[in-house]
Amino acid sequence: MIKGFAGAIARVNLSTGKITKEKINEEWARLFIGGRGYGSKIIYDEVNPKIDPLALGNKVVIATGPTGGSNAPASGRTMVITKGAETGTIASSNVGGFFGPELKQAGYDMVIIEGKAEKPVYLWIKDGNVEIRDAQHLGGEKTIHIEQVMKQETDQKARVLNIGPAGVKLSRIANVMFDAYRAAGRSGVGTVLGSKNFLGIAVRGTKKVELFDPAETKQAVAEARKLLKKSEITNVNLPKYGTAIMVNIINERGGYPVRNAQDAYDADAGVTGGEEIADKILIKKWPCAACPIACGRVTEIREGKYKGQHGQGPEYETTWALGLMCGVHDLNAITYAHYLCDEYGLDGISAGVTIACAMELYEKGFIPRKEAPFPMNFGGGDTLVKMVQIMGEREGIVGNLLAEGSYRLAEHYGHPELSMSSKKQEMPAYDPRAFKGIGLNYATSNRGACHVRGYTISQEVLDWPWTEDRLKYEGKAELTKHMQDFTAGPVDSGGMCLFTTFGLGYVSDYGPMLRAITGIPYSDEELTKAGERIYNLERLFNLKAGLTGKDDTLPPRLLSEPIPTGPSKGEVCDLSRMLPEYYKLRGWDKDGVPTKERLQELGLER
Amino acid sequence: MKVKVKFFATFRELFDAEKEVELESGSTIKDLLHIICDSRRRRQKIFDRSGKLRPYVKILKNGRNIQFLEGVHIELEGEDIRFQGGIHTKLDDGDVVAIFPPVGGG
Repeated sequence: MIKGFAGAIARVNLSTGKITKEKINEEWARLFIGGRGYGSKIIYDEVNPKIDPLALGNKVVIATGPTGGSNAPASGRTMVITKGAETGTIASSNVGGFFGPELKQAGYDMVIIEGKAEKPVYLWIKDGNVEIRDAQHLGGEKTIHIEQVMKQETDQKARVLNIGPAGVKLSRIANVMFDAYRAAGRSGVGTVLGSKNFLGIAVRGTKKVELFDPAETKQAVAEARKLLKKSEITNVNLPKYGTAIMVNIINERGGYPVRNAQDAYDADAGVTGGEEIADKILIKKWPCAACPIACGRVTEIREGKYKGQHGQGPEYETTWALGLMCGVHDLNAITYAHYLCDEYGLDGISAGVTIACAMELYEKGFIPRKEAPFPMNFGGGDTLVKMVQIMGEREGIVGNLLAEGSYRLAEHYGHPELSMSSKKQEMPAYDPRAFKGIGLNYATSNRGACHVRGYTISQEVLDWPWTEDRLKYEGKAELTKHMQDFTAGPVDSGGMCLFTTFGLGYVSDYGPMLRAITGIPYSDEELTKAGERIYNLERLFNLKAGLTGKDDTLPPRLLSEPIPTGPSKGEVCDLSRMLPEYYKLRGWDKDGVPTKERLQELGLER
Repeated sequence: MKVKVKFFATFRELFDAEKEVELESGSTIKDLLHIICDSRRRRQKIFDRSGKLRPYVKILKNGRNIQFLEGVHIELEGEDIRFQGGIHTKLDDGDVVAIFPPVGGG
């Protein structure tokens, strides 16, 4: 009998109102670990890859990992897994907060949402008991208000996940907010919940998670926490400055995409970075469950037009997407725009990059002046805020298109090449031309352009756990595959936060905790192989959904327009120097299709 | 020649965020650091007792990690300096040297 897991999955059919309790499949726990892997296996088995993401047959899995509820550092992570509304790929969006451990304590590792409710509902889970509640009164409300009401109606100590107006209005970049301020952001996972009239889940659980070997777990956890304390990244700079400390790190290397990636360096980028945030708007740092790092930022705007507004953030990705990616230097406007994204339930990265795309389309005259409700030039903080508002409200022709994400917006106006995206998901805050490995990762990530699926920035920038030259193509295929499998396995499927990898650099740092908590004797090789297995399972889903090797690419600008200024001036990202080798290492054919041999090795079938 | 040196994150507690420094032509990053580290506290932050660059000090010259720059000597005055992270890299007029502690983020 494995431990660590609560042992049960709640399956909720919104069409029939039927709720069933299923047991955790121990064989799947061995092969797919939990979290991202296990939840993706459910989607792979039960969802037709060809359907429209908003069709009735799509499902959503809310999946914790086996470490959730233990004292393993930063172990409370949850994955929201579905066929993504923005990308049409399998989509798993990762989030922290406190929901995950509470769900485990309530007796469930995962919740499966299927069907569609006739009217808006939410779920109330309390110590094993699951009930569907009416949520009609919450439909038009903002996310933070919804979270408060759900707690009032159930239990003030409950933990909540919910969508906001963006999800209700079926914006393709709608997210799911957890504990009011943390986001399962990407790929339109919130949209799918909106399409089911499903507003959220409140959960309260009082039964502590059972560990297989408590003494061994205590030892393994102590080792892991020691490593995090030893690292100046996790012990000093992240808690002190938050993720936005990366602004200067990336900008000084000339890889900070500016004005829809028309450039990659800005002399004044620092005014939107971590040092400035600490100086101007930070109230205090904020941790997630069991986390010793505390990278969260509780902030308040202290001057100017948006004085008095408060919330959490911005983060590195949002201070970039809503900042220099739109040509905006005004930290207060960026911060307020970040708060608005949270309130509407919009993915901050996709919102900012979509707005940047609109700004370029507008400046080049591709958006007819009469369709734009106001000028949409790069650089204006107030413009930025107004654009988030019309996006969240789906107001007007342009507002409605903004809500669809940059690809569909740009395609509508005849210039899809101006959407800085892969597989229709907007790129994050690292320019592939300046960091070749992350470019390969954007192109091959199973959920579209993503940095966290294979964070090669670790080696290409942070020199951790070893150093690679960011401008070289050699070795990047192997590096990318390594980071992708490592992340998919013990980290994302074990339920651990990616930032633990800044102190724990190898699979062998995670093995002891996973073995002691679950009792499953995973070897380090098995954990890495599980990661590779999960990666290929996701790939198979996408191929069946109709994607091909041709979708493993980047926008033309990043492939072949040299960066015009700054420390990485002249650089491009030539994928052809990495992709063929990457396919080979993955055991895929020249079109990126997994070979029968590799699948057999992994125990998968086509 | 003139060179700009920038410090970030926790290094700003001890050093100016940005400063211009006058150097003799042919100077190296090590020379620059010795000028900047004009107090014992500053010296101890950057160098260990044997005078080697502390491993947590990350240096860029014009955006490039100095470990990867061309023309880094393998041996200098009989000493294997490969693991000193390119500290003997020569500087040119107008160079920008950025110095970071270990940081990470999203």
